[in-house]
Amino acid sequence: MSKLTMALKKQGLHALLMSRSNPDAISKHVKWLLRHDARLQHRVSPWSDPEAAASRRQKLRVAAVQMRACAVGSGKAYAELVYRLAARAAWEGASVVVFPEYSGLPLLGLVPGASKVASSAPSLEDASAMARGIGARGAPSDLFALLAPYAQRAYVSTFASVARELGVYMISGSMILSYEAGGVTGLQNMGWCFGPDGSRVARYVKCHLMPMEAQWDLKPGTSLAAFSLGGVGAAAPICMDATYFETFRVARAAGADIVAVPVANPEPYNMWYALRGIWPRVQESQVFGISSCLVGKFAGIEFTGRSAVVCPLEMSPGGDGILAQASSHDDEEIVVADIDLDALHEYRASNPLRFNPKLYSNYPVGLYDRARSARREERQRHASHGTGEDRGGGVRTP
Amino acid sequence: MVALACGVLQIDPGDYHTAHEYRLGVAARISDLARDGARLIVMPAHLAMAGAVAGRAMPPGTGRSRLASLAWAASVVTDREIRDWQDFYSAAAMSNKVYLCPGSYWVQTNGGYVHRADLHSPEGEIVGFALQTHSSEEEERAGLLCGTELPVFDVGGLRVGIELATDVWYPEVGRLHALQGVDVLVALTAVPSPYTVWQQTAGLWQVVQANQVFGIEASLSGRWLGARYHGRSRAFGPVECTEDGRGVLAEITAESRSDRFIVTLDRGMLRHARAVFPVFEHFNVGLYSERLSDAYLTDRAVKIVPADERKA
Repeated sequence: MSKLTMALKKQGLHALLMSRSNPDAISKHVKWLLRHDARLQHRVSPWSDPEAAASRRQKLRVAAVQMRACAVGSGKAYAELVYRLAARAAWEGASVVVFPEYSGLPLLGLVPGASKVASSAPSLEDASAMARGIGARGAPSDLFALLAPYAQRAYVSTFASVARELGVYMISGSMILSYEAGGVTGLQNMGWCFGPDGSRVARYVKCHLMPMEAQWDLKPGTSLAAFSLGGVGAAAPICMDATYFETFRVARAAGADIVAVPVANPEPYNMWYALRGIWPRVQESQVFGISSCLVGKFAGIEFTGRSAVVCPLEMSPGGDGILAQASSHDDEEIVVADIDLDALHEYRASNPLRFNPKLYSNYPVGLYDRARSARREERQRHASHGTGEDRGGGVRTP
Repeated sequence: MVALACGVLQIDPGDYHTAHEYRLGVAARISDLARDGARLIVMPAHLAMAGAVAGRAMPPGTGRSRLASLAWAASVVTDREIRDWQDFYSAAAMSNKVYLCPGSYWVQTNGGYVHRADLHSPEGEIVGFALQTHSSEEEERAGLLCGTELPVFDVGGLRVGIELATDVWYPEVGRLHALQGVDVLVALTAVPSPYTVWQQTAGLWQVVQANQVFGIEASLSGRWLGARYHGRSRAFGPVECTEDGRGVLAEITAESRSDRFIVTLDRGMLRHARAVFPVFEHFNVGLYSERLSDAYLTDRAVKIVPADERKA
């Protein structure tokens, strides 16, 4: 292919992606969707009345959106998808709506042909390779980098518009987008909290990567954003962040009463595997947790999870720490629950966390690096010896 | 292959009415476990001095508070008796050629009590001890003071750390142990009835998953000093090590008050889990350096044991 043909093709793709991610078109479309939504014609934003908003600081209805992975061909189609799910939550009275990790994945479909590729390719690497003809190379990071400027336009305008039209706080989940800091650019897994007026309240970045994401050369975030949901402290670590208790300690110290965790677990569902994330973190940090899961197959990856609203064991009706939970691990659902901030504060007052700073100060933070190195060396040593013990598996009880 | 056969002995101390009965019963059960292959034997919280208080009557009203009962037990057991019982456990460890953690005990110290667990070696020595490092408000009101170190012991080629009671529900303890290279967390607990699987899951199970180590929870059962305990001792491993993904390697079921199990802890299983899901690889040390200490700026810090008593 000549250089001229390549340049023309690239220019054509740019024009097409700009058109498909047009924020004005998305914003107008969301307004149109609300106008034609009979359920919500007479609904008043839960945040519009200052008195009601003040009482909402004590009691909130929150929603976790369990979203099916798919691909869409345009920003307007993406807005329809997000609106449809958020509107169901708003119709059920939610004033805070949380979307899953990789909620922006459908936007891969903006790339011509990628929609079909996403459903049929056995892996993201294959999907990316199949898209070579239109400018992206083989690695998923190249496909995300190609799409990032357009995806961000469509993503941000969609969530801002839907939050504004429905008058709710929306925690957008996440998408792989580009960042620039101190002259350095790269890709990160990030999302935003949007206010009921459509403003960007906060941007958050995943701080602990999945091995797959590290292979894609994503960069972890360096801080945890805390923000206010109409006066209620909140934070939104992403998926793997909830594997680490440190994340929730930092969130709680920053004033979070609600920790929303967008999730995309790329593995077959097992309750115990899934239980390693938000649930224990909520117990040990005494916050409300909202877990929103991406489900379904996308480019050969099977995402599973049961979205839930989680609380300390003693505050849950069944004693299991669950206020509400999706009935399926592979289907679209909206999970809604009422959370009582006063009750949480009372619980904390009668069960205070009591730390031992002297103990912690005896073990310097450098131990983390040393432990990581030790496990890395163990892995490498064992791999080079190839004894096969790593197959693990069987439980042996004499 | 580095593997350790670990035996858990869950007994109901209420079954023993005298110190002599307790000695005989426990010695026989330790020998049984050793004969069946256990090289590390662990008993639940508070059992180490249960024999010393067997048959003694608590003052009226003491039994109404579980923690007041523990403080009472610590106040009536003399230093001499503690040394006698330690000698008994050392002898049991030596004669059976096992490492033995015979449970824990509250012991009086300057200004209160500490909750302590000793580890006895096959050579008949106390190789070290651990102190409880986190306390509830109730424990503090009862006089409990906390330790400030988490020692690690080499047991048959595996590194072992000991957690006591409330420590299990503070993830900092498991993390600090794991950062020191611990492969096996031994947790001695005594949780009042009724049992809930969720409370247990929020404790050692999740610590094991977060750090990809083995967890041995020896949990007090039966009725003792006026309180009822739920038992349910369990051995945990990373979910990747179990066929059903539950992360339970062995357990004593609800119906059993006095029971035992032996589980083989094979380091190859840990390597497998760590290779499949390398949790430590993705620590965000910069974030922790900058922000984690903020979490501990609190006026609710636990009371700690005076420095000169920590090594006693």
